[in-house]
Amino acid sequence: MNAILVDQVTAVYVVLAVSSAIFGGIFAFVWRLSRRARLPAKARAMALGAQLLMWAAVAVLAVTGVVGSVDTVLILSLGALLADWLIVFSCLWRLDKASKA
Amino acid sequence: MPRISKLLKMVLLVWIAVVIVAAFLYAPPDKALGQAGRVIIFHVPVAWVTVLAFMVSCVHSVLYLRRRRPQDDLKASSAASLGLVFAILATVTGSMFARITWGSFWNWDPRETSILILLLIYAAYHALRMAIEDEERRGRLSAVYAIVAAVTVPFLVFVVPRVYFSLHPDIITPTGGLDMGPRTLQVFLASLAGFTGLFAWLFQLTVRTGAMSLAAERRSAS
Repeated sequence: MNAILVDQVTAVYVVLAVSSAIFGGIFAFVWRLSRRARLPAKARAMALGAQLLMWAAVAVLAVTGVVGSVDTVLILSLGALLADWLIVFSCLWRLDKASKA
Repeated sequence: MPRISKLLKMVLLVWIAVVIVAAFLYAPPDKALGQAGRVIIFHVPVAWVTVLAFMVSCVHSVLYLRRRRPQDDLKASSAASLGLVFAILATVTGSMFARITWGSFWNWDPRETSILILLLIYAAYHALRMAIEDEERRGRLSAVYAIVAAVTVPFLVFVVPRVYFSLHPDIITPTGGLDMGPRTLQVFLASLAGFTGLFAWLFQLTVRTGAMSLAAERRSAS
């Protein structure tokens, strides 16, 4: 049997945490590949910084629980995840170009 | 970058962005799981990519044994690496979901246990590769191992969790359909397609960077 043991706002945060973990994991893998492809250290550091800031923002949101309405948390989660995907995509794009050069 | 390849990547960018928007705003909350039901849209495609990657690894391992081309070995190991990463992600995200539905991160449920076994099997594949220095021998042994390992994938992913009682929600109905509303189903299928595209790109990059580091190793050895 499955039952949700948390309120709906926390449930949205869990969805955000799960999806952010997925994009974060993919980012970590791509970041490792970019080291292998000898991408410039500055570009790699910037990408890592962006990803860490993104996670920090998500953690602050979830831990402080400043937002109490389900709809607002849905919008915030959506924004956070889109930013996460953009970070992953830009890393993939740079790596793609660097590995062809 | 050829124009078609550039275009496909831009399509992937937009496609996954649309999936993310739709997962939060278009798909309704699940009848039983509420807002947490949206997890399925991201978690299941990750598990699907795990299976796909291990199958790709098996195909290239067979090709390696037939043709003995180093590129096939590189492709097999690249796909297995990606499969391992996605298997870890599926396990971690699954246990996060378990925490809010079952009350603890790990329950030794058949689904959790079988993915853990799969993780160990493919971790051993990489350990085996690292243990053998001779390229030809490493390629041959790991190809045989990858083929045998791939045989266990359908059992561990599809059979074992359905044979034993599992708390894990099953999206496949006994009649073979998918147990979700039409809107959620649309977003779910779009997510499956998006993650498959992402896997294809990641696979290409892993192979390419693997070839780069191999070439660098050979240059420094000679």
